[in-house]
Amino acid sequence: MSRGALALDRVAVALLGLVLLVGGGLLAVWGLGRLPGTVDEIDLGVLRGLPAHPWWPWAVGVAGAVAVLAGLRALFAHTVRPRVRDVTFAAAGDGTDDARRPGGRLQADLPAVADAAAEVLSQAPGVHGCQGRAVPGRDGAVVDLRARVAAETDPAALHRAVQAVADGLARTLPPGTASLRVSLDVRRGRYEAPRVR
Amino acid sequence: MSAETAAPAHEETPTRPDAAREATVPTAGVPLGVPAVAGVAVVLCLALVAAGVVLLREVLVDRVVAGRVLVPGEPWLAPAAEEATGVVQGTLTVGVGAVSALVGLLLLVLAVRRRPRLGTAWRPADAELPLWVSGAGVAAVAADAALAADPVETSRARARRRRVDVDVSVDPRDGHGRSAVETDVRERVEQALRGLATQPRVRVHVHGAVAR
Repeated sequence: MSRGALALDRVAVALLGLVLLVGGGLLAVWGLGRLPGTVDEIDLGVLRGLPAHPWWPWAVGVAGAVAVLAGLRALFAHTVRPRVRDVTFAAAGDGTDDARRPGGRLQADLPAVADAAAEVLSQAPGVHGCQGRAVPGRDGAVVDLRARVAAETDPAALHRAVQAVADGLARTLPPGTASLRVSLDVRRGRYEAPRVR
Repeated sequence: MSAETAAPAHEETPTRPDAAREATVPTAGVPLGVPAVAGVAVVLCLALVAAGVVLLREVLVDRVVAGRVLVPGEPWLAPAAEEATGVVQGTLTVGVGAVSALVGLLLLVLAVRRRPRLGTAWRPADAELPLWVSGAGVAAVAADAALAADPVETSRARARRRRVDVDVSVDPRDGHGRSAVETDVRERVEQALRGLATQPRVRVHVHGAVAR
């Protein structure tokens, strides 16, 4: 789910929590008779005449439709995985000439870059497979690689391979476009390996 | 990835160019998971949809459209509204109020909790770029490192936040000394886990060794 959806979640749940906390607390205190200056009984008799009103079916129907649609829309927002598609950056001149070309914009297809980086990393020794995604991060786009690695892989060799991928990304993308995150899924060959003598 | 950008100006040796001159991609932060508040929000969405269905049912029930009854049954809300009396002080009210307040407090706490971290940073070569590894991954590396010790036949490991427990077994007929095996395994595991952001304490338990 996207960061915006998560922020909305927090606000909505916090609001509901606040209402329940304050309302429930007041209700409990009133129920004990300790809330000064209030009635002894809350009269709900006003509800009795409501269904007879001509607007009752309309109000209920509209409220029901809105509730169903809003609820479904909010549910869908939780199932979507945020992805970064293209990252646009201004094209400065290439490394050989310093002149900036104004108004030129390039687009990097970040998912393709992530796929390519994953492909390269999956060729490294000890890596059984690698998946690459382009996702939004705290400070911009992130190339997120998840590599399945054998437990006996030499960590230094693995790190060299990852560093090579990082260097490749630094050459391909202008600085500040994206950052890199490599997660490992470490697997043992056999859970308990009996030694053959 | 194509390497068609302008090459760095000079490279004296065929090995890696000077790292200081070549900027590298910054590392993104720790991978974060889904917080509990998202689950609560999903439940609330479902409740909202359910409430909407009840309201719609209320309107559609017992209506005849084109000669057919759309929703069979009786309305629920209208009779309930008709029988509304009032809320009195008493045990039930206090109970409902107290439970609501507790639930509200729980919701408030969940709403502000941070997203869970999904791994620990591992810098095997002491470099800038970390490899993110989960607790299960740490355990796998530890167990594999323990297995490399000569007398060890089987190994199992469990990783907690600051501790890794390793269980190994040796052949009892060989009469290996426990402390020797423990030390060997511990050193191998600590060596393998060097570079973890939080260096864990390694505890080794040997099965089948002689107490020596």
